[in-house]
Amino acid sequence: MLQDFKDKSKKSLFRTFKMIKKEFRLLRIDPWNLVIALLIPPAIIMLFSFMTEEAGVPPPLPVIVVSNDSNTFINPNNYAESTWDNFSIPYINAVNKSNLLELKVFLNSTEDPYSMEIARQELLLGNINSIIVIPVEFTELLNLGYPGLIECIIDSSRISKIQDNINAVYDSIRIFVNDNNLTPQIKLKGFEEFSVPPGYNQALNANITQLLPLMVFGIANVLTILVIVKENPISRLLLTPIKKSEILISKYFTYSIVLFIQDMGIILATLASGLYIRGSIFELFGALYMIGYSGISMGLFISTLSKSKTEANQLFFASFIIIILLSGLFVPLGSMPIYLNLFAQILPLSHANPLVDSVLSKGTSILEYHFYILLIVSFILNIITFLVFYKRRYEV
Amino acid sequence: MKKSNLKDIIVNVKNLDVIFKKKKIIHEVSFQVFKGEIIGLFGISGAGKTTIIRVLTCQIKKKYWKGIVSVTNLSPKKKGNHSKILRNVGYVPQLELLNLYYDLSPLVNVEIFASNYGQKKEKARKIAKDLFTTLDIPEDTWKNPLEKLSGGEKKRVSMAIGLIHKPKILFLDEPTTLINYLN
Amino acid sequence: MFIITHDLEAALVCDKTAILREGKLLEFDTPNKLISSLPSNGQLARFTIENLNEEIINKIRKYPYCEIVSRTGNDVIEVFIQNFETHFSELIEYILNKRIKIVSMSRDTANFRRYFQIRIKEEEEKENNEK
Repeated sequence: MLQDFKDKSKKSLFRTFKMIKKEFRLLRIDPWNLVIALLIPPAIIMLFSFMTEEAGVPPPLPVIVVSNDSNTFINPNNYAESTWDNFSIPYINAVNKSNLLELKVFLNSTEDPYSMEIARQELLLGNINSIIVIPVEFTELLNLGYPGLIECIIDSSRISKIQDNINAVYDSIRIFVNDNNLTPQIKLKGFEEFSVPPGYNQALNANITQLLPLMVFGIANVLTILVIVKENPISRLLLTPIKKSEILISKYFTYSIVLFIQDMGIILATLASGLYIRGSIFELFGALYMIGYSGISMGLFISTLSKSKTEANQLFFASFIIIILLSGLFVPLGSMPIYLNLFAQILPLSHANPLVDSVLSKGTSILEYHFYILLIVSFILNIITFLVFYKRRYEV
Repeated sequence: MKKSNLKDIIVNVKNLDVIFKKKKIIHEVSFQVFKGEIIGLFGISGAGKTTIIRVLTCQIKKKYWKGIVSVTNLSPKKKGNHSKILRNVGYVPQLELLNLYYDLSPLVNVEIFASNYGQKKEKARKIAKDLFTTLDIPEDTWKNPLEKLSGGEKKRVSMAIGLIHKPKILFLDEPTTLINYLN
Repeated sequence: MFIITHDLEAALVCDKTAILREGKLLEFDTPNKLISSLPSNGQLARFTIENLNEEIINKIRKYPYCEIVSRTGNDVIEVFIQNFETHFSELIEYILNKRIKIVSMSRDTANFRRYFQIRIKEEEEKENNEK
């Protein structure tokens, strides 16, 4: 009995191994497909790093500063002493100092009561990206040790630009805080904590977080969508003692190896191009591998489901568009209606972005919520793929 | 005609019915085939020739057919028998496209299929070369991608694959230039 | 070895032939046995007739010992009769008496193709009668 089992599993292993060999042979036939999978990702990363290095820092964003702080500051201990707005001007200086902002006009609402209207008009016309408003009694509040809350009205017509605008405004506040030694009074959130240290390619970091998951997932997906539909002799293979599971497992195995090589290439390229990785390289590798595997799972799922190559291509295109649109890259998941949000939660790319982000800029462990969701989603796709493949009739 | 005794029955079909979607495709078919016999299945298309062969080669799920069927004394009704039956059976399908890896060479094609019967590379190569020589496939095409071979050569590679494991039963589906091979 | 085929000439190499029609196995035997199940063991008379038409064929069918008349070409028919040796010459006389012009004639044994055609036709007619 045991001997029989041993014998059977040995035979099964032999067949699976040979099937893997076959998969590699089939892969070699279409070298371009492999080249795309293995070389394009590192190449794109390198390209991005050159491009962004050439351009240096992104162009400064035009702003208008409106100051409402016109009241005379009166020292409660000495009524004779009075100062005019002694913190509005330093802030303007900070704005001028910042590389991320370009001060178009400074408007004082005391002199011109329509300052705000003028600024809004400029924003509406698209001449500026944001209006920075210095609040009433800004100076007084700071002097008394209260945080002076600077208001910022940003152009929200392009959602993807919001973060850039906020970053730029924060940059001016940071300079203002440093120059005036006012650190405790103004709270800075987010920006300082996750900033890229000097010496690294800042712009590359900003772009790559969005690019990497999309690229790894997309390429793994494209690589596998035709793998099963295109292999006509499967029906004939099934007239030999091979099992369906052996055919499918050999495919997962083969493309996992391809993924491994691809991710190594990506890691090397990111290192060479000066990408700042707050977490460890292994964490990045793990995150990329998980994302890639979900791409393979999706691809093989599509390939098993479709009856023809055209169908597979169309299914891929339709699913890919939905996955990208609902990935949070364009519209944040939080701002979606609840039903779309829930649907987006089961799509792989929605979790790929935060996963890469957590390694690159936060340095937190990848073994958290998003990783497990990706794992579960891939696993469920694998199970459905096996079921469909088993149900499918292959006849010669 | 050889004298046949009961022991030599290699295929036994008794009262076979095949029903798809409440439509009876095969009605009460019974026949016996003895070792060494060549059986021709004739009929205009839709007569059920291929369906019978599909039952014999475990391609039709047991819920779709009833009756007694045994192939080399094994019933395709039992799932556990499938791989044993398939080990005894060679199949040459009607369409080469469904049988062969067009981008790979004839030798590699044979090797892939031979591996499913547990044959190692060297053994598979040797058998392949013998079969190719017997089937008159020009040697200079053995390592070319199959795509470049002529239709007849492809058919013969397909034949070689059907014979690679020395099957007890061979099924030929519409071998158009059949007479050429058998002579 | 099983051969699935449309190619009726393939019967030459088959030990046994199975004839299927609409899921029913009509025959399963050696080709020779099947052929000899035809009238007079499959012996037939072949005539090439000038201006062959249905009327002429029906006339020939009326010959008392005639079993099967099948048109196999534009002006060729094959006729199966009972006791071929005894009635062959009588058949020729019958045809000539009907003023049918024979261009050429020969005798032959039916091949598998002919058997197949006759058998399928017979089955079709049987089915039509049942309806």
